[in-house]
Amino acid sequence: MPMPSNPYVPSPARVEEVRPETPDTKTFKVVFCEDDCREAFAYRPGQFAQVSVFGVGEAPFSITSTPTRPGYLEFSIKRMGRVTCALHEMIGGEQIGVRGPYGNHFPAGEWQGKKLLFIGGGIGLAPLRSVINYCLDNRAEYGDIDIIYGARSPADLVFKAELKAWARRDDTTLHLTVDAGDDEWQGRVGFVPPLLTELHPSPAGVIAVTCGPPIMIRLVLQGLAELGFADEQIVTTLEMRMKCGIGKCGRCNIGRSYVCADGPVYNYAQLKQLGSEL
Amino acid sequence: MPDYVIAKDKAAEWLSRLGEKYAIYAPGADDMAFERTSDYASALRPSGNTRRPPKELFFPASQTLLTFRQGDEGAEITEVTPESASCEPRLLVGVRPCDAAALSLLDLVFSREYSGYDDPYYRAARSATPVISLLCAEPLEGCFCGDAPAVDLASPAADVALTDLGDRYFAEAKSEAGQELVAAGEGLFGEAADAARAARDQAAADLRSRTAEGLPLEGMRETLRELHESPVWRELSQKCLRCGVCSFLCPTCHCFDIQDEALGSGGYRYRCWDTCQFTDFALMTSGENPRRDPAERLKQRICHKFEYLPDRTDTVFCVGCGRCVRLCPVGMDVRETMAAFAEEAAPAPPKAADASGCGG
Repeated sequence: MPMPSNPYVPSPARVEEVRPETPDTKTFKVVFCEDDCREAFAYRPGQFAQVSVFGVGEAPFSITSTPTRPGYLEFSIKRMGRVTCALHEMIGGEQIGVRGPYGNHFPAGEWQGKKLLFIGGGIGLAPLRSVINYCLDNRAEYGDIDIIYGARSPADLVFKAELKAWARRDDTTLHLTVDAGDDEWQGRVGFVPPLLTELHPSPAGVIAVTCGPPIMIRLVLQGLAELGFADEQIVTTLEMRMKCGIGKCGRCNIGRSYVCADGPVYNYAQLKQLGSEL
Repeated sequence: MPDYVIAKDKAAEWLSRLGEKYAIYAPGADDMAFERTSDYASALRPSGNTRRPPKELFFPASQTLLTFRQGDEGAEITEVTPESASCEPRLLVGVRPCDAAALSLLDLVFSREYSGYDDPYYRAARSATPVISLLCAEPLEGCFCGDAPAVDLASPAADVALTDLGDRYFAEAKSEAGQELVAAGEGLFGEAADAARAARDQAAADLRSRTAEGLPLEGMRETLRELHESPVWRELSQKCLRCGVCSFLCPTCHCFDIQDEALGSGGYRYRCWDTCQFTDFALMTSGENPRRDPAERLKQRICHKFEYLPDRTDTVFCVGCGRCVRLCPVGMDVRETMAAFAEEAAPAPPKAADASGCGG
């Protein structure tokens, strides 16, 4: 991949489309302004990019689109701080900056022939969506695919259209839950970790991939361990405060590992070795 | 490469020749920082060290990365700071062995080998700036370079390493750039005899014996690995004011922030030094903060230098310059920190019951 000589300089990109997902989350479809930038940006599921709103700042976001659907990038972003608020004000057509892709990626190549169990909570489905769609686009290479996803309320479920599409597939099983239902919600009510325990997946030949709020991850890891999953079978992706994205600025480390350069994807065995407190 | 000697009264002439090609930087008269000078006679001072290490000449406290302006279709970059902005030919004179070693450690951090990316600004500045080191005649209070494995007092990590031998300097040219520097002093240098080399070694050994306190810099890696949950972190961190002086003045600390400054319809993006001792250093927008507790922040600073970076690079990131010891406003002392953990590791079995107070 041709590497820009100055890694701190974002490439100009345009917000093509803004899709509301939940009351506080929107998905931004982004296209590089220049063809060579688009081609140079070869990413894999699980990687992230630094997105710039010039004058406001730069923040790291997981790429939620899949490279199997080329030509654009998608970021699903919850309104939280300065950069995310500035992005949420956009309606499409705005110019932003993007640099990356950064970090390691989900080792989807190593999962061939395995069953996959994705466990997401809230906006934590954003990084999983990239690898889920990547695996669905290479469906023949994997065994059963199960997706467990939960959010605080039906309105807080992200990617609603895609959830419906996943539910319709006969080669994939979607298990949805919400912490609290509403008048129209006919599905399950409850947290993600007890749903996992109830589904009681056998660990044989399975890779479990999880991302969500810290408390959910902690309980899911505990639940998977109780089900007999080995640490190496459990994969997650981490969030830390980042600035440079290239392993220089020194703030995103967990022990010796820089989440931006060595992560954000780790299996549970690696995290334990780093002394992570998950 | 052969070693040389140069009479002290000829050193100013050598520097003045070099001054035709380079902007020469040496410790300022008040020993605050490296400053541009043409006072070649006092550039090589035998004692003291600058309060601010020379890292700022390669990695400035604040540095504009790019400028932008709001155009018709949103903001766009108007100018990227070129790498060559840090390429003015400079020569650093009188860098202490500790600080020379620190630069070689920063070289690692900013290299492609370290994390897959090269830092263009640092690299450009470093490759345009040769370094002439000078062995200290007198250590300062709090210096412990003699214990720092990265510091070679006899042959520091410089292009030319000078050692004061009384009436002359021993000069070792340690790189091609160093050879050229010596060549610029044609007629001023003589070849070093074995006796001069022995005197150089003796001077280094003397300084080592005066600055070595037997601190276990190297072994801290294994010690700390077992003590992440120790209550000692909390005890030691209690008096810290979180002012960040220890890291801003540290010659190997390199953490930085990147921020935008909006000015009217434009603005600029800059990077600036940052420190893990600030509460918001690792604070995420979500409110999560893995290092909310001062004990966690002290652990980050100490373990980053003595465990994590050694794990990554096989080198301890402390050069024993003593700045953090001398200049901490509340007298925190990294030597005492090391001693406390060495003691914690040594005799008693781990006190598991006490570990819960250490935060997380």
